[in-house]
Amino acid sequence: MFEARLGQATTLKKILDAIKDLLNEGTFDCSDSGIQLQAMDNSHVSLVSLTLRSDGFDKFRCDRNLSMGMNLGSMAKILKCANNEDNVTMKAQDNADTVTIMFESANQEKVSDYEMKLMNLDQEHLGIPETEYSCVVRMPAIEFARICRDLAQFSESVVICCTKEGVKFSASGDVGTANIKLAQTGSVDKEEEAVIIDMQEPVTLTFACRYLNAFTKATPLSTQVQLSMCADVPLVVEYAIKDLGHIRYYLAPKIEDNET
Amino acid sequence: MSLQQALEDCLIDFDRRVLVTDLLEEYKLTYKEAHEKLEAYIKQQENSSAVKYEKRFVVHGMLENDEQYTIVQGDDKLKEWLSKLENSQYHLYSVEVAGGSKSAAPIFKPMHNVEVKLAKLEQRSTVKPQTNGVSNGVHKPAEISKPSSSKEEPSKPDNNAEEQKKTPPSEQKSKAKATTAKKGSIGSFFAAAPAAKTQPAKETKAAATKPAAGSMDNFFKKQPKSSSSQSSSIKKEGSAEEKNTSIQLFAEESEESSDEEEKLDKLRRNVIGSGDESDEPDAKQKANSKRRRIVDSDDEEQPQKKSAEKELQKPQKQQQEENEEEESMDVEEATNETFLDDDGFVITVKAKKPKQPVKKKASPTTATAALATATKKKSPPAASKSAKETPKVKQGSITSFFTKK
Repeated sequence: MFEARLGQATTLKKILDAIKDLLNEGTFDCSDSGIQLQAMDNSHVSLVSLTLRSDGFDKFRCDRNLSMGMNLGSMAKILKCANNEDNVTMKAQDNADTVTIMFESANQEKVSDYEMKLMNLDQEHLGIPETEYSCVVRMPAIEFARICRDLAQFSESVVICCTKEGVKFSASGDVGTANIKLAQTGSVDKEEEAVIIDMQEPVTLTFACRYLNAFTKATPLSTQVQLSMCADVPLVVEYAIKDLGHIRYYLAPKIEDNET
Repeated sequence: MSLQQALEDCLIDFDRRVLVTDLLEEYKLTYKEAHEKLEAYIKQQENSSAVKYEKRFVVHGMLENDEQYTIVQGDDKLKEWLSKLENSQYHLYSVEVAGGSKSAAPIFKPMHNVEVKLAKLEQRSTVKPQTNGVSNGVHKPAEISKPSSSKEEPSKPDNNAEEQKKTPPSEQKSKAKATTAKKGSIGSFFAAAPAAKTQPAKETKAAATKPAAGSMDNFFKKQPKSSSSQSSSIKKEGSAEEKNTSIQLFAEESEESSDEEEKLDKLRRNVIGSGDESDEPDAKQKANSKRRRIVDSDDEEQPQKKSAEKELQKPQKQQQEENEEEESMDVEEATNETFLDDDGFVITVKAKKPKQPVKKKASPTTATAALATATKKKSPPAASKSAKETPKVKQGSITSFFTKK
């Protein structure tokens, strides 16, 4: 038996919104430690890793490890039926082929439940090695979303150059060239507005704008985003989900084509 | 592939009627060989499994001094006919599974591959029998097993094309003609298409249609010339047309104009409102005055015609000068004015936009210059340079960084 209850449906809505553009389907691996999802996008360029800790739920019960393959589009449709303040409970029997998602209003006057068919997904799980990143940038999530959106107008690719002076996002295309520099903030009143750069050595990497923009769909989940970079290693874009876990996006860098 | 192998591999579908003639043709066998192999196979099949085969025989003999050919079904009927006919002989004609539910192959089918080979007679490997879409159950063996003559087939058109490239067009024509005459079926025509592609389209047309009627032949002979010059002189033709119409509208009728042109001319005059002005002695003056009015009117076509007429009548230098004068005149007339003239025409003099005449008079050279500047504006050299300079990158895959669990 699996049962997980969240105080606010809006959190789950945001999580689904953050991943459904990249992934059509995904397997939620439930264990007593929580819920995990790891999946690559269709083109195998990016990887999404979602971790929801069991202690972040209002109620969490998982008697046996359970893998629930779900169509994320369908799940998002169901979650749209919930009010933001509703309690949401996910339930599934062991070896069940359906999952029940229940919404309860704050005063318990309205209770709605939706049953969704589960899928048998044959997805590969990748082992992500522990990596010491050369540069770790923490910056406002909204700012990162804005930068990605703006630079996407110039080029398909964004060059992220991280030095001790700051982090520079550049794009160059037919329209022209765009450069956005963010310097490390000295002292800010609000922690969520801070730009913090932890640099071991400078890094310059090129990434596809399209994926970065897809990652920024997780902006509502967190005020800050963390970009971890290292040469010839995928970029990690991490959004923390308050008191619950995190969502990490891994994006393979663009590499220079030596053949041409 | 041999017949024996095809039989063993069950490549021949006896659910449909299998003609022995087809087998002879397909596997290039003598009747005796094919018959023996087929009979042996049928016997083996009938013994090993409960499948019964239905045979048809072609019987030949004399009946009351008349030569008789017939196809009979089954051994009983065969014996009956053999006893009926004098000097009778028979051959196995077709085999099929008894009670086969699928539609039968056509009963009568001509043979293309003659068993008797004449000395110094080459086989026409390219010609294939047309079955009209009805399968007779014989699967075609894989291309590898095809005789060498058919293997060489695809390379032939290329050789042909190369030859055609080297030879002058006149010779090409005759060669193409020869090839089309050689190949009879439509299938062979399509097979030859790659060769035809390499030569100009006009020549293909000419060659393909030459075997047709003589009058058509003449037509196509002339056609390529016009088509070849067509692309280069599209602009000229266009201007010539304009000139013609302008002549009919404004100048005195020339003797060269055809009946149709005259009719058109009259129609246009009706539209304008005066029927037989051109017949009058002062037609030229009237035409000029009409032209003046048309310049002032709303009609967009007329100014073009007028300018075209001028092109015809005056040398270019004079024309330029006049155009400038007219332009200045047109600009001066700033307000719309409507009035009834002496001939009863309602004339609207429109305020001229200075842009229109410029457009109208833009010469091809200035147009190209303008186009060039426009393209220059679109892509500044620096931008294009920087685009070129940026190193090409390719998207890596996430799987190349992480190992599978």
